[in-house]
Amino acid sequence: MNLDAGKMLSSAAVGLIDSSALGPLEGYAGASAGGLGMALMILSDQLDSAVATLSSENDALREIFGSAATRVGGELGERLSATGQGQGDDLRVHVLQAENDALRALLIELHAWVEEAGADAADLDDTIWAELSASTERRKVGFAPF
Amino acid sequence: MTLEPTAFASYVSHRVPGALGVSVTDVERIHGGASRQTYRLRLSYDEGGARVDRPLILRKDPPASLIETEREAEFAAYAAFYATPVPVPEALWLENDPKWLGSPFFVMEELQGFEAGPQQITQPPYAEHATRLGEQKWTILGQIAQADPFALGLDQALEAVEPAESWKRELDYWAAKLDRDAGKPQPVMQAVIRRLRRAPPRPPERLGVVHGDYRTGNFLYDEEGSIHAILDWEMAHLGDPLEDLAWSLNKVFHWARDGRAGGLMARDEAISIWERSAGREADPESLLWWELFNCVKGQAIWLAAGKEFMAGNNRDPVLAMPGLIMANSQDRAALDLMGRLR
Repeated sequence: MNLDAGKMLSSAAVGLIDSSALGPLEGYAGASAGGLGMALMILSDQLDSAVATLSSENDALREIFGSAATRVGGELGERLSATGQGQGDDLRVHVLQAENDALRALLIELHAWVEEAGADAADLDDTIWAELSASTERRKVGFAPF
Repeated sequence: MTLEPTAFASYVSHRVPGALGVSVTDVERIHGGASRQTYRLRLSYDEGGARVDRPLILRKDPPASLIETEREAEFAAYAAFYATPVPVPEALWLENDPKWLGSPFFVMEELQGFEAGPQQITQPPYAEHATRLGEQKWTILGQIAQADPFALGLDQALEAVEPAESWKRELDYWAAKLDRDAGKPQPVMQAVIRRLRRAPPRPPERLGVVHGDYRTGNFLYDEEGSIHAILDWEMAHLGDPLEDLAWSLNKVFHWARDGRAGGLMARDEAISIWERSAGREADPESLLWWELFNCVKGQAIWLAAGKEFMAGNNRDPVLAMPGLIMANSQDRAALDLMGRLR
């Protein structure tokens, strides 16, 4: 049988939550074990979707940068153009995450430029907000309060 | 780090010179918020021929905490509101010298037999009292808003600010904390911060007391639907009371997941109760400003907690959860407030 990392984490999580892993724990220790179990449960879910989530988001951001580059112009436009043409082919999570960090940092710069541009860039503003909303949908945690 | 009963008994002997036969028993660490290590204990001693026997709560500075809070501010808030219409436990001793227990701490009475959990309030036997609990929750918050911090002496412990500048002080602080602790770019929150700076809120008519973390989970309630104490004043400060109202409405605290603020009642109903109790209207535009501000503040807190946990500065799982569960919800709450959530 092949070991499935997500299922291993999930099983460990349940063991901490229902006390089957460590035996009955009371008070602070029991609550802490339950808390760690919940954390592992969330991480187990994220482990399964991490590559898909980050790849989708990185692609969406590159597409926005590619279409915005010529309108923005200047040094920022050049960076948007170069980034928009980039293509991440390393699917390890830490590499995708590093790309995502760089892309989201550039998105902040672009969004600030769009706000300064006002009505002339209203459509781009809507596009950015739509992507930010989509991003929170991708990252949604099942039992989060909102 | 643990709490040594003998060490605390020595402290009590020092603090209460007439105390004889000081005994500290039943020491138990509890989850009482992530900003301090919280212990429940029983203190007994003889004084003047009478036996004193009190259940107490001891809140001790941890190696690293959710927020760098001022224990003096928290202690002062408990002391100021004790025996007022705002229910709080009696604050007993504040000790800043780390020689007694390894780090500073303060002690207050324990109010026993009540619940505080935000999840439990949405379940039987408490859920059927949601309306009654909500009425008290926002009435008490209105009473805090009405309180005069200068008459209470709180200006001695909490730094005053010009009312017109209160928004800027808070935003500067939390935006800087977000920059310092987030670890990753935050495009939603950075857009919120730019919006907040472009259009500040209307200043409050006067400076008020802001609890700083007024939400379901930070008060004690019972099975009949009564609130017995407001807890966790560690982020108390002087400012615009609308900040507290806005925090109490934050959608990341919608524990019942049905749109009710704090898992208790509809947003408009909560605002009306607060307005009646506070004796002032909640200007909708200013309230929206403070709600968006609280998204920034919340995100700074959730991510700072995760940073501390990941760095190994504090292994309490309470610190791991906010970054995992609340951070994305906080972005969604901000988008929703701006009409940008699809």
